[in-house]
Amino acid sequence: MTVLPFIAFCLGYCGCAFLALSQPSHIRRVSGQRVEPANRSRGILRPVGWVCVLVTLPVCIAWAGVSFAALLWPLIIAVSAFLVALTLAYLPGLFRFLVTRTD
Amino acid sequence: MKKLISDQFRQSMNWFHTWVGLGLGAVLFAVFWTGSLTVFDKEIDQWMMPELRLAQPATSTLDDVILPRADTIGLAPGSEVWFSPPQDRIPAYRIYYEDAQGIEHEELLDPQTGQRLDLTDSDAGSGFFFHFHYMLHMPGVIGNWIVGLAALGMMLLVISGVFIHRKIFQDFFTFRPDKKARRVSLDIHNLTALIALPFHFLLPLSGLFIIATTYFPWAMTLPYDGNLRQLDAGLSGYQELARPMANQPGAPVTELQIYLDQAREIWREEEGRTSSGAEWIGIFNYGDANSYIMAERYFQSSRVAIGPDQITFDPKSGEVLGRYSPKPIHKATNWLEGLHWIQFDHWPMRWLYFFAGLSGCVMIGSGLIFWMQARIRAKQAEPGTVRVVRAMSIASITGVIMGSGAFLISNRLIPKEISMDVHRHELEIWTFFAVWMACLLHSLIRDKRAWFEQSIAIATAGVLAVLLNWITTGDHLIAAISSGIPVIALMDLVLIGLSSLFAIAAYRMRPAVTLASRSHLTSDATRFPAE
Repeated sequence: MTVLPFIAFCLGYCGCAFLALSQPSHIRRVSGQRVEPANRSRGILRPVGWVCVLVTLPVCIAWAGVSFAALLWPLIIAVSAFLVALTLAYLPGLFRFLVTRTD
Repeated sequence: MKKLISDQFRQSMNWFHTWVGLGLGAVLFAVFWTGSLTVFDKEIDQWMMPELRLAQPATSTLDDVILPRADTIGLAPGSEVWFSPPQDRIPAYRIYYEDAQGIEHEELLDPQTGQRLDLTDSDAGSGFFFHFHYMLHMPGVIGNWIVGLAALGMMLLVISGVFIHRKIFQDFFTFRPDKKARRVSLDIHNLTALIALPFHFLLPLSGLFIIATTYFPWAMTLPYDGNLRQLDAGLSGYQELARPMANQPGAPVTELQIYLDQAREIWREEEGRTSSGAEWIGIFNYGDANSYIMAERYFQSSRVAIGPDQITFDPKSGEVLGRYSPKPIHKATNWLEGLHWIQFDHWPMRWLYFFAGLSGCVMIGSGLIFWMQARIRAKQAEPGTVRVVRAMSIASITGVIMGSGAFLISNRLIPKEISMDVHRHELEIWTFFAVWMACLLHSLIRDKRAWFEQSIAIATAGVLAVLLNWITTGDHLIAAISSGIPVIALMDLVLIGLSSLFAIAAYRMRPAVTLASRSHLTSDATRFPAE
């Protein structure tokens, strides 16, 4: 049972990261390229990101029950989104493997 | 394609968001800040009242030491008296009663000896920060009204803010510390607002639910002949047990623990193993032949929704006399109120609330800062106006944080036995407000530089509080952990963490560098950009 909170945070973080990297402005930031990157993975990242974010909810339910999960889920996504924003700002290289460079 | 939201609509929303935000910013920041602190109110209590730092589990029981105490405190015959066993966050027994003059008393008793704890006279977290959060330390219901209007404003600000934004989805992850200062504060404002949007909407809403009855009591109680008790009974289906006094002395109640155990057993059977027991057990009609016992649980620690759940027992036969639990129709409101009270047993959630609350503080702070930056850039506001708004912002952001720091420091500096005309706990509160006002004055005089100077002051105050805690109680980080009071160590770590954030903020705002060239700015919780 103790592993569930960890899974929830990981899923939340990955989901937010995938969603962010399905957006051109964040892809540009990660790849460091001014021109529009031809990112083949972009098409798949958005649905996968949504799935991760949505699957976090049942994980939260399994962790703490429905009435707690209704609070835990949005708060975990909030912290994840904040951490993804910080990663994009200070450690964009961490996500580089997710975007295809055009060079 | 026809636009769903016209530009004119967006502009009027923008106007609303700007001016209501500016008007309510100071109140909202204070409420969010004290609310975030209240998440850890019991822990702040332990920090500010060191007598509560009790590591050992209780050796005495309710029946052998605590119950006899009821006979020594001079209870009026027929009055009620309540007892509470030690809990996770309150490591002492509590006894609550009204004396013959009708004055309420709450005493905390040592879990080892049952003796009354000689507590440091401090309002601390659950007495000061908690009440300030919804009353602003104002007399009567004035504070309630201001906080309620601010809560209503907050919900409207959230809604109007959503309409102003064109690129909500994208702003979710956007934070660019390398851009211009104005852009950075807008990024921070959007980011902290969007990530915790449900929180920023639900908390003011649930807060309003909790204090709703204070606003127009006459309107709500009209169908009940102005009787608030009857209104409550009508709303909740609550029936008080009809067991009047016999007016004859009865056998004294000699055991309570069995009723606590019995209540826990009943709830466990219905709710499963994680169900928690009663927080309070009370004796009604004390000393009378018709006395009865009630086990009450207001906050069930394994669920969000609040109670109360009550079971009454007959002390003569041990039978269950009556029961009350909220009706199913109350589930939604009780869940909503419960999520605001956060008295459940869930530490990860407590931390998430704390961070979400701080994100609200950062959202409000960065919003105020952006207002000034935008006005200065567009030369829309008189320099005098900007100066006043800036002083107000600095005082309502760093000022209230500095006041809270001074509150902690004064708690450790004022001797426990102080002979003065005012109560000791009032001195602490005076310090809070005096320092807050001093910060306002300071920001009026020093203008822009006050950001830097007050950040330095906060960073120093946090470290000072930790050091003073060490000097006056000996509970430094390692000592606290090894002697079984990790909450004190955590509290110190949070203080050090906040101090570091303000130290970083101050470093980035250091005045030696021309302000125009400073574009590397804030990232998180408590950093504020130089304008």
